[in-house]
Amino acid sequence: MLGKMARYLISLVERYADPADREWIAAMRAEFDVIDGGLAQLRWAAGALVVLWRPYRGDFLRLTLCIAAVVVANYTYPKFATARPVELFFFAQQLYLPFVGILAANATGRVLVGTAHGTGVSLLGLGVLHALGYGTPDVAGLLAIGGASVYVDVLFFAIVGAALGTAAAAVVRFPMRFQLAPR
Amino acid sequence: MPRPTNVSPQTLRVLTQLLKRRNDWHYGYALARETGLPSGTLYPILIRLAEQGWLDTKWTEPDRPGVPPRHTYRLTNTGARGAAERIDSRPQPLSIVRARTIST
Repeated sequence: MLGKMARYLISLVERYADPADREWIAAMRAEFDVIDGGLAQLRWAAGALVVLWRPYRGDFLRLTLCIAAVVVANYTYPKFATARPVELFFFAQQLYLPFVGILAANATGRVLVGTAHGTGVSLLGLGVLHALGYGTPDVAGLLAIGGASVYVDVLFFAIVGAALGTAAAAVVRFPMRFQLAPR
Repeated sequence: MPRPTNVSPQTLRVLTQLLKRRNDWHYGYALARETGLPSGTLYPILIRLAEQGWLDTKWTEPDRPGVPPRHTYRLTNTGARGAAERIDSRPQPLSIVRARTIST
């Protein structure tokens, strides 16, 4: 029973393996045939699943980064997502901040530069927003008395900028797979 | 001299095993048993080492008819040098360090 399950599992992996990893899956399949015992075969076949997943882990990490950045942008601070005119500006940020991150990473090849540029441009956006009369009213007065709400705005825009800038820069920096040194 | 890249304890175990019989070809299942690593840990390590040119791989013809060929692995010269370097530079258990300190 276990042996049958193991055989089915490894045949499934063989079918869906990335062409670049086919030889390795075949190598695992060849070893599978010399293993005695259903449980040992099942454990061996389960390992083949990890090899199957290997080519996709970079894509998965990048996708997770991008989704996380947009989720952070949308849910950190609901105030900006509900005010209609500001909402447009806010969603526009999600388009141009990644672009800033991509440009920064293209120019320097460093993810942290994308983070810094994303943060900087996002804070600049906050300045524009206030100049247009949106966001926290009377910024100058609040800054003078150390009012908290303007700092919350600054923090929020910094987080959004950093998240989107980092995600976009990471996409540029790691275009195909993560080429790691032996771990 | 550049500082050697850090390697995981699992990779070190594989390198140690490969280095023990440097000129022999090793089977995957035997390596898994000798290192105690599951196949899902061992094979990504072997793939990475092969991609970095540390490992030679070849298919061996079976001794008996009806048995499929098997994939085997051996350290390249670069791999053997790198492996020896990393094994030498690995952090030692505290007990060994203490024993050496006391004896000196």
